[in-house]
This record gives sequence, structure tokens and C-alpha cells, in this order.
Amino acid sequence: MGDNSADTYTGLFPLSIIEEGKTVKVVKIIGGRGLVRRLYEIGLLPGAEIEVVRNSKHGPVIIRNKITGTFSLGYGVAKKIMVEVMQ
Amino acid sequence: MSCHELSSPTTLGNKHELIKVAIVGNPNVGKSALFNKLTGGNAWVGNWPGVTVEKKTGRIVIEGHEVELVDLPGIYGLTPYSLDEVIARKFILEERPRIVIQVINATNLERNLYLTIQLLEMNVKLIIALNMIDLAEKEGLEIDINGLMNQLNILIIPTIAVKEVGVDNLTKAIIMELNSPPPFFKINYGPEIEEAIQRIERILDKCEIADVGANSRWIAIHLLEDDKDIEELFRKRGLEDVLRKVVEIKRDLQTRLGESIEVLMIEKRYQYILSLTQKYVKRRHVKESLTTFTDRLDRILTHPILGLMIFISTLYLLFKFSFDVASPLTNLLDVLISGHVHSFLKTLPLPTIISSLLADGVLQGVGILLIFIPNLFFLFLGISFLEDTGYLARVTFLSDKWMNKIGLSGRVIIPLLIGFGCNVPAILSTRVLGDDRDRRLTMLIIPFMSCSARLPIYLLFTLVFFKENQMLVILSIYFIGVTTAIITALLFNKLLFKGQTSGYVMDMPPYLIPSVGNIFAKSWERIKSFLVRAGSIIVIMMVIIWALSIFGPEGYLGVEALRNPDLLSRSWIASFSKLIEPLFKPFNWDWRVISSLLFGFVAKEVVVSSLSVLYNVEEADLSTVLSTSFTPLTAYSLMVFTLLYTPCMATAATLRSEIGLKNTIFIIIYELFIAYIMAYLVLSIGGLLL
Ligand SMILES: Nc1nc2c(ncn2[C@@H]2O[C@H](COP(=O)(O)OP(=O)(O)O)[C@@H](O)[C@H]2O)c(=O)[nH]1
Repeated sequence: MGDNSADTYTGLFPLSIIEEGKTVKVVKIIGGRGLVRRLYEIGLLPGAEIEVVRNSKHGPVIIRNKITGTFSLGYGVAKKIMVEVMQ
Repeated sequence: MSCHELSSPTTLGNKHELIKVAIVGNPNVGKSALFNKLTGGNAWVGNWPGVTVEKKTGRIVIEGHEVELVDLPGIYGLTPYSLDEVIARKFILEERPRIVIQVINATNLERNLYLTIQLLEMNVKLIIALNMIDLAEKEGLEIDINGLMNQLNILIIPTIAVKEVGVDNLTKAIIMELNSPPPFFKINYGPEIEEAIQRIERILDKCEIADVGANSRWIAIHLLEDDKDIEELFRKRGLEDVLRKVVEIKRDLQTRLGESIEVLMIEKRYQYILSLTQKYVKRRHVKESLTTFTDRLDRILTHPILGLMIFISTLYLLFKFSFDVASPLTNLLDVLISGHVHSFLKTLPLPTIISSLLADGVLQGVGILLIFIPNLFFLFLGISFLEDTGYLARVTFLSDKWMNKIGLSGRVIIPLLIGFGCNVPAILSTRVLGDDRDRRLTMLIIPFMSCSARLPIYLLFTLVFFKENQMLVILSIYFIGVTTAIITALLFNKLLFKGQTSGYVMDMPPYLIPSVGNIFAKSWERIKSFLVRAGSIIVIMMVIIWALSIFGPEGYLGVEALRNPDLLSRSWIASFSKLIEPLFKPFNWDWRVISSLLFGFVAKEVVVSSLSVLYNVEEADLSTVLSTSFTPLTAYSLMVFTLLYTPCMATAATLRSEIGLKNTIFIIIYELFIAYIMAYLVLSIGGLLL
């Protein structure tokens, strides 16, 4: 978990543009401390795998994490979560 | 039980010790349902001292012990993010409840146990109410409760809150736990972090921090995790040198770990949780799980087009339901109060001024409140129903995209919706918004949501002037309100609240069939909180208005002034209205209309009854009089003005308690200004067209 070297920035996208049905890996979260902490606490830690259940493009997303369950994230939050698409 | 007892807990120490028990949990775990069952619905809703988050407490007696249950806001972890969470943590740390009950959603153990771990690390005496075990069973989850109990060394009581299963065991558990020692709990964070914790602990042992309310290991852990509140506590005590040393230790640790300390620590907690669930939870495969059902429904309900259409229909049904069901009750109350009770009070053998004070002042105020209640209650019933099914979480999701366009997050849709019923609870419901900027901006636009008190005014005027297109004209007024709200939001985004909303993070609960009892309890609670806040203000204001009507610059006019327009025209209210009459010259409103608008500041629906007094006609005959003093255009501009001009007293008072007097005055002035401009625009544009 969390083993991402800083130089693999290729293939890093904000969660807000990921298509529905894709599974992604959280790489990092760009945001204020409170938000970052909140996301960590609900299991969106760097390295965590999440499935994009719903994405209304330039709007909010619904994601599912195997461990902590389903959450809805506003667009403002989704664009701050940088992820890597998994196969 | 009364609020007075609750507000002075210090006097209760000697006789019988009052046992404080806090109830915590993630959102959507059934906490309010369980709290209601525990207290038998006898909760007292008040405010947390200093801040305006609702505090729910209830007293019960268990085996001779008096227990005070305190319902804390729903939280995910003990690191505060929104106002609600700050309160919850503060309470546990500073008020040190004897026992903390954590309500857990058994279908989502992993997420819920995170809070458990944090509570255990604080060494609070914890009891777990493992709620929703009925759903867990349906989901094919087999939880080895005994195993988990032994491992964590705490009591775990399985419950089904909505069916009152396990509630007795829970109360017994409270008594059992009273005299047991606080649990000892420790997660091993790995050698490097453990060493840093110990180094910090050694520093802490030398300072005076016993009153922080937690053990030194907990404080050390939180300092490692950059807990700003704890750091602040140290700074306040002038312990900056401790913080400096901690920074050094952290820097040291950081270089050794090469990774974020915070992330590692949270990971460790989740690893521990996973080790627990792997050992004590078995998953059987089930054909139709709640998750697959929810997913299937969500494919439609969160669909960007279909979902939005369903949302709009639901909204329409919600308002239609609340108005239609409430209107017979409202009418009945109206007849009872302004008819029977009013004339009864007048027949009492009292001095006329007293009986008038009671009948025309106090009763009038009470009447306004009572007539509100059916409407509000049914609206709250509808909203609580949607909330408990899980649908409101989807509404937030659906609206986010649109709300973003005006710089707000999807979460503000719910306060705005409530605003169509009444602005007071709408403003209160903004508290759950994590973002202060969103909260202020939402409060600024809530008064433009046309509440149910304004509807009688539109009904009266449209009946006289727009008989054919009544529905359409009323809808256009609502539309103007919403448009003004949008423009205001855009404007203030540019001017004051720079930047974007920070968005929201929200749990998506599975769809559930709500429990009727829970919905009624929730709605009643919301009504109660409205009455507490708005009640006294409306009644007091009504009495003040009453006094200003029977007194004038020349002295006491007599209570007949209320029925006699000639006398009333010499009252303070009339004098003031005449004074500002020139301001409203463009609208051609005479002092009577202006007086009614002044009365309407108490509660907007009063405009109608004041007009009838001022024109000296029965409400039923008001239409004939109005049709001579207004044209359709001036009537429409008056409707627009009443829609927009200043929040009513109760709303203003609520705003004041939430964001202070200065901001409230600003909002009142801004809205008066907007109302004037819009009403003027209606007149001039309408004048050009017609
Ligand atoms: N089946 C089932 N439903 C429950 C149980 N407890 C609560 N609920 C439902 O779960 C939803 C959320 O409950 P609520 O008390 O509002 O949760 P809170 O957000 O934690 O206060 C409501 O629809 C309740 O009817 C339970 O034990 N079993």
C-alpha cells in the first residue's frame, strides 16, 4: 500500500473525469487538511482501490471502496483526488 | 423534566449522581432511532453552549440510577471537519461522559470500527450497540459477537433500533459498565512510530495537561497526526516549546519512514480492523443483497436525465402532499382561533385593554404559529420519509452539478427545499454543511425560497386579478424567487465569497423501507425546534405590533383602533407608514399597504389579515376593495415585493443566532433593496408591455 514513487505522474488523473465502471487506485489528494483527513478516514488512502459507480462528468461521483463502502463525493472533492486507472 | 434542570447540571452533584452517557456513531447507522427508543421519545432539544448546533438530551432512570443520554452529531472520526464534529469531540474530551455508546451499522462494520478504534484509544468506557443486525443477516453476514467482545474487551449489544430489539439489554449494559475500569487499548503502530509516541509521551509527562481529558498516549498520537485543535490547546497554555520538540520528532520520524506519518497511522488502524473482521465476520453469499438492489435502483434514480426528472416529480408530489393534506387542518385551526377562541376571550370579564392584549396580541401570535404547524408538519413528514429511504442522499448527488454552477455544493439543496416550507428550519439545517463559505451563502439565499407563509398573499391577489391563470402566476412568483437566489449567489460569489465550493463527502446508504415511528419522531422534533425558536419571537412581536396600533403620537387610542381604520390611521404604525410613503410613490401604495408590509415582517401571512383590518372589511370582502385600489400590474409588483422583502422576524432571529447581528442586518437591508428593485422592474417593464 502507498508505494508510489513521485516520478510516475504519467497516467495520473483527477477522479472527476474517470468513466463509470472503472477501478482506480488513489495516488494522492490535493486539498485542505480537513478534507484530506476526512477522505483518509473513510478509507480513501493513497494506494486504496476504488470503483467509480457513477460519474456525471463535471459533476459529482459515486464511488465504492471494498472496505468502507459507498460514498458520494461532490465535484469539488472529486477533482482533488488524483488516481491511476487499473486494469 | 425541564430545560431548567438541564441547564444547571452542577447543582445535581450531591443527592443522586447524574450519569452522563453520550451516544455517538457514523451518519445513517440508526442513531436517532435508537436514541428515541432509549428515551421513550422524551428528548429535550436545546443548543450546545456557545455554538448553535442542536443538542438532544434525554433523561431516563435505570434501576434507580438517573441517566442523562446525550445524542452527539453523526461523525466518521474524531478529527473534526464540520461544526458538528467539533462538538462531538469536544463533548467527549471535555465533559467526560461516564459511558459512551457507539451505534454501529452492522452491515458496514469496517467503516464503523474506525471510530470505535479512535474511541478506544481515548480510553473511554465504550459500549457498542451493534445495530441493524436484521439487515446484516439478510446480507449474509455472520458476526461472531462474543469473539469480538473478548478481543476488544468491551460490551457489544446487538440491536434493531426500529423494532426496539436489544434496547433493554443496552440499558442493562450501561449499569453493568458503571463500575468497571476503563478499558486498556493499544494499537501497535510499528517500531518507528511507537518510539516517536514514547518520546512525545515523555515530554508530555513533564507538563500540566491533565485537564485535556485524554491520556498522554492519545495526545501524543494526535500531535503526530497534526491535530490542529490539540496544538492550539498547547499554544493557549504557552507550551510552544513542547510543540517545537514534537515538530523535531516528527521530522525525524518522517525521514525514517519516507512516507506520510498520518497515512501510515490510519493504514495501521484499518489493518487492525481488517484483521478483526477477517477473524470474526463470515460472509455467506446471498441472491438478492441490499447492495445489488440499491445498485439497480440507483441506475435509474441517479441517472443524469431520468434521475433528474424523477427528482422534479418527487418534489412536486412532496409539496402537493404537504399542502393538500394540511389545508383542511389549517382552515379548521383558523376558524377555531380567529373565530371561537377570539370571541371567547373577548367575552371574559376583563378590562378591555387586557382582553384585547390576549385576543388581538397574544392569541393572534399563537394563531400564526398554530396555523403554520400542519403545513410544516406534513412537509417535514415528507422530507423525513425521503431522508429515511436514503433518497435525499441521491438528491444531493443529482443537484451537485447544478449547484456547482452557482458556486455551491449539492448538499445545499436540502436546506433550500426545506426553505419552501419555512425558512427557519432551513437555516438550521445548513449546519451539516462542512464548509463555512457554503453555509453563509446558503443562508443568504434561503429567504428567497418562498415559504408557505407567503402563499396566502399570492392566493388573495391572484384570485382578484389573475383568476384565469392563477396557478401560472403563482408559479412565476416562485420562479422569480429562485432566479433572484441564483443571481444573488452568482453576485456574491464574485464579490464576497471568492472561489469555489469545497464540495461534499457523503455516505450513500442503501435504500431502506422507513419506519413510520422514526419518521413521525423526526418530524415532531423538527417542529418542536421550530416552535422553540420562532414561538416566543412571533408572539412577542405580535404584542409589540398590537401596542403600536392602539397607541399613537397623541397617546392611547383605545383598542377600537384595531377595528376602526380612522383611529388606526392615527397610530404609531400608521404614522410611520405615512412617513415612508413617499419612498413607495412609484408603486402607488398608500400607507395601508405599507403598514401591512410592516406587520408582515412578523410573519408574512399577516399581510392579508392586516390589509383587511386597514381597509375595514372582512377578509372575504377584501377582494372587492383591492380590485379598486390595485391594478393587475401593481398587484403583481406587490406580490414580488412580499416575496423578496426581508426575511420575517423568526427567520431574522434565527439568522442572528447563527451568523450574528451584523450579517443579519446586512441580509435584511440587501433583501429590502433587491425587493424594491425587482418590484420596480416589474412595474416599469410591465408598464412598457401593457
Ligand atoms: N432494518 C433496520 N432499519 C433500521 C434500523 N435502525 C435504523 N434503521 C433505519 O435506518 C435509517 C436511518 O436511521 P436514523 O435513525 O435516521 O439514522 P441516523 O442517521 O444514524 O440517526 C432509517 O430509515 C431507519 O428506519 C435497524 O435496526 N434495522
